[in-house]
Amino acid sequence: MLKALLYKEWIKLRWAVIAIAVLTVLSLAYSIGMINYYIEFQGALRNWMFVISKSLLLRNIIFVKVLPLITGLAFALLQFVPEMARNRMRLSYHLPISEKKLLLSSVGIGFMFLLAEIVFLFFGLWLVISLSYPVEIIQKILISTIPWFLGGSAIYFLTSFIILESSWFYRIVYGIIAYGLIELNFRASVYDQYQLLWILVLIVAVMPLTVLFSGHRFRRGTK
Amino acid sequence: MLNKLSRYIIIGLIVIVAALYLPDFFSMLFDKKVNKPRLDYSAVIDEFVIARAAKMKKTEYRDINGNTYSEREFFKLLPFTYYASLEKWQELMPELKGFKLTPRNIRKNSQFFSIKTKYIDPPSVPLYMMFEAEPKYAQLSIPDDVFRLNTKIEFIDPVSNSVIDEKSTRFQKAMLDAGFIFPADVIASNPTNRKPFDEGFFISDAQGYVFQLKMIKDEAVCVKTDIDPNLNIRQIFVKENLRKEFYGWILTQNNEVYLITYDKYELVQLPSTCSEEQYNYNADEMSYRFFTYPINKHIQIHGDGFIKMMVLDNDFQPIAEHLETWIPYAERPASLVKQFIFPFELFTYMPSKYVKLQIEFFWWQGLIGIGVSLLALVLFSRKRPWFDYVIVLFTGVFGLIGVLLIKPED
Repeated sequence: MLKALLYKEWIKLRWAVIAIAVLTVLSLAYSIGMINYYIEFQGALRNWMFVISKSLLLRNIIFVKVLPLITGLAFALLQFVPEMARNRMRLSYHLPISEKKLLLSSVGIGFMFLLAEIVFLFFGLWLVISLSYPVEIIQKILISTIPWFLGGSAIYFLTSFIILESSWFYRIVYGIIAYGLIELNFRASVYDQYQLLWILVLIVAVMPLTVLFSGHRFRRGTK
Repeated sequence: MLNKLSRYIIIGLIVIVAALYLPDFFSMLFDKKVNKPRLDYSAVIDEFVIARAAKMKKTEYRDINGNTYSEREFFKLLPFTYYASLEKWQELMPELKGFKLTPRNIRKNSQFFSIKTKYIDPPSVPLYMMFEAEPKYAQLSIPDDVFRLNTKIEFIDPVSNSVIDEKSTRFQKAMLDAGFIFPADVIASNPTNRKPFDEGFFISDAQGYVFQLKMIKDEAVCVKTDIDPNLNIRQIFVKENLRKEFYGWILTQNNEVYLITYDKYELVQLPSTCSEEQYNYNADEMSYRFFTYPINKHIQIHGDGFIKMMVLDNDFQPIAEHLETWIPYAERPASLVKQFIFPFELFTYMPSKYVKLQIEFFWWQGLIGIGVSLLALVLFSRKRPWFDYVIVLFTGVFGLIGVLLIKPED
């Protein structure tokens, strides 16, 4: 059954997965061009100084902040909007798999694809910045991206949770909560600014379970 | 069971968001700006003077004995601060306590620094720039390389992103010859070329000894100082000044502040404590300001609700001190009411430059909000799972919002 579910979700997500992967490659290529441009026109040392003291790279790699958010949002919309349109989700509930397992598997599979995109982006970024910068800068940049990836994961789980909810009142409440939780991951303005990052990881880690409540309410037809 | 757990996770997330935003929003709406005084010391009348915002957007100027002054009279009491305006008005007195007052003379003999919480161990990339201390040109020029310093010193060429072996070896040798024991601990410099000259780096080694490392004519000059290795240094600040009285200052883990003087790196301890313990300098919460003027030195400790000012003579002997207080944030009406409404608050702000999710409990005041929330739940929404009451018991109004919004599903 899981294989069939995986195939079903893949059918829904495949074009988005490919599109985001292409977008990631293009963004990485663009950032190589941009970094080279800065190094050429500012001079290597001056560029390093801006990168070290003014957190210039955080602006040069703004796509790393945005892409996980777009990916998480797109995956959740593509996976669950068709299910909720004309209440098609009810059909899925007739599959020989428990409702909870079905929902958690769907979210798990979607997150797996999101994680794959994030890992691809992470290692791509690692490769790009290691072409021009020393290990100290690479370390700081990579650590700085972790909250952004958590933000991307949060938007995926919370959008899925909002779409699966059948009441518009609840959706608005959840939307406000989602904004607050996602924003929490985007408060840094310089490298490696977050302390106790594991608390944010923990908050995101419990988010997948929220879909169960929405799914349960949908099954009961509660408005 | 999982559905119930899911509901409580949603309520938990609501509690987090509510505790992050509501208390903050409450303070934003109701907290009023505090009229903080500007405290200074007049060497003209040898008394502390205060400028404070008064009604009708005016400023009230007075000394601590209650004498009031006009703006011009006040400026004349502080020639070392307002010399430019006084000069423009042609009211700068010619001499004060034997010191000839001219703008140039005052500028040349004055220096200021402050230690703010955000300056202490901020998030940074551990790569440094070594200036040529005896440059060919009038100004210091930006070097061609940066260096890392940990278990060894390595210069890196940004063009090729590779280690410059020859220069690294020379500097490593100079440091080892001076007795430096790797790895380096505290590393400090003034990383700008907008300064009159360069004093390089002050670095503490694995045993706590402090070294000065400079580059003169492309050669490493490393000097072991006599600074006590048991000082427990938290941070060193370097600031080159033509006065050449001190290289910089040291902040210790015990909140002590020392100047590193040009007299063989002799340390001079600046006062950071006073008779009332709550006004002792605490680097994690307060800022420390040091002003050196031609005829005396001022120290100001700024905290939430107070300024403590101490005046020293040129031999660092205390002359006078004064404390000005106002209502600190925790005792202001908006904060007090907030503590009664909410049981705790979540925030990510730190006085340092980090972002850290933290919680502050309001203890007994918060119990009132919790009691009211529980009562509201009992009165307006009965027949609830017992765990809803437990949530409200621990999270007060935040939990109440959560359990009321997210109704239980059987």
